[in-house]
Amino acid sequence: MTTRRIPRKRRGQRHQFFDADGVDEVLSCVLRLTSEVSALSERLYLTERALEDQGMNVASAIESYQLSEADESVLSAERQRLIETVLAQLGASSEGAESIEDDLSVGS
Amino acid sequence: MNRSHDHEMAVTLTQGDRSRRAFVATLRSHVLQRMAGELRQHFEGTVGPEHAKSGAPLETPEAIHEAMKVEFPFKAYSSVRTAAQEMVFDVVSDAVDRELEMLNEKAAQPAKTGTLRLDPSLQLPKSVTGIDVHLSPGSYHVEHAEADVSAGAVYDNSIDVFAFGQFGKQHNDIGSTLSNYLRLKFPDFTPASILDCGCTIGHNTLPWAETYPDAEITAIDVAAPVLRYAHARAESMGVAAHFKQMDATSMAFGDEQFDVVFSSMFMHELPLKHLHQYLKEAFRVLKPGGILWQMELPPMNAMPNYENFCMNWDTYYNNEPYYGTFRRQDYQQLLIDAGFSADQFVEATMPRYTFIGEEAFGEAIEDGNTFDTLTGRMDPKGTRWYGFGAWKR
Repeated sequence: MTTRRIPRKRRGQRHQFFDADGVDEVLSCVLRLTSEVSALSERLYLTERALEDQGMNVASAIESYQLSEADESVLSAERQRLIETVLAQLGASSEGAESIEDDLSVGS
Repeated sequence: MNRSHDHEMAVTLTQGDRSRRAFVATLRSHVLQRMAGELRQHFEGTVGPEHAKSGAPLETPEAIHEAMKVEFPFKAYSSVRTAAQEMVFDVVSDAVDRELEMLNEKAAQPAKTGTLRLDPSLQLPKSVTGIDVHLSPGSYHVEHAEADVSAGAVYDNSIDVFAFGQFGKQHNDIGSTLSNYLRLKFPDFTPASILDCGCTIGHNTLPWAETYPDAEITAIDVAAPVLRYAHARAESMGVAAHFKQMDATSMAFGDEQFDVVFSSMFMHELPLKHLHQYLKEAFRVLKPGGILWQMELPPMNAMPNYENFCMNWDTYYNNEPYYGTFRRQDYQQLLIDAGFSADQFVEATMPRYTFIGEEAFGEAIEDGNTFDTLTGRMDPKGTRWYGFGAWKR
């Protein structure tokens, strides 16, 4: 995994739009998951096209493939990344926003 | 491999990066077109008529907001829009993280045409440091490495996703549109010195050099990471521009230095007190005969109520707390308060220059101004940018 130096979670509380707690966050999770499903679908599409270009029987090759320890390591790291991405909004906020002085507030 | 942009500060994109960016751009477009359209239908077909029937018609954007925020379509629209906004920065940060050392090294190379002057002693305003503007983690000023450009790189990459192509190929349409408006509308005006205030990565600074090739181009911002990136980006594109770290509310320039003071999407990020200070400074640094000419969100008093309700979403939910206050101002009066004369006020709504070309643009700016669903909004059907300013006589 790439070392993450750029923060992925903004400061401050998220707005709650739905009345029940957690619905907005779950919707965010679903959208992030959908993004990952989309990326995966596109990857599979590209894989099939690339293999077909080389004259390979894709379905048969995939079903008969035996995973190595190195494969398991790669897939495990990818699973972890996927979970962190999908659940990104469920973690505690890293830090609170500083308060803005009254004289800068809206409506002044 | 795919590259994010056609300049040297571009990052390499994996197929995964490309897919995730395409997904979020599509999601953003879906929210702002399809879901926003359904929200409007719900208002026009149900919420608006029901309130009118009950004797309490919704006659202000605030009243529309109060009535709509309890409705399921608004909750769904807002929740998805917020999630999509957060995802914009998330999906572009991986590629920047991977190549950050290389980007920082490139940005540190000696300049060939322009200059970069940072001021480490500059005190950043709390309106910048206190919140993550646009829900962008770390906003535009936080640094994650020595001589860091990551905030600039994230911003450049985020525009691709955020604006789903509506800012032009090099994100430069606003600068192109406003500079070409001046060139075509006032052909005798040939500025020798142009200042862009709150320039971030200089994407709307550089088109001024194309429109007025003989002018000296200067651009300021308070945030060092975006300025380093802006400078490196301009150098790699072969455009001479001078980037300086400076607060537009207290500029270090002498009086009467510039023929044009420009800004884009800048004033609505300023607290009202700072907005007044900035405009007074703009008046001070302008030469007599020069013009203050700025792209902004259209004023609330010119737009229909429902459009104002839509535009106010950002001030309530997108960490842009001064946006609503700004749009409620009388723009002409703001300039009068800063020293400009009322009869020198200029305003225009303009189609996008880089999208429609010189001929159609030249014809369109002869028409009167229009304030409707396409004014100041990102819409593939034909956005019109709003500009206002004044000549200093």
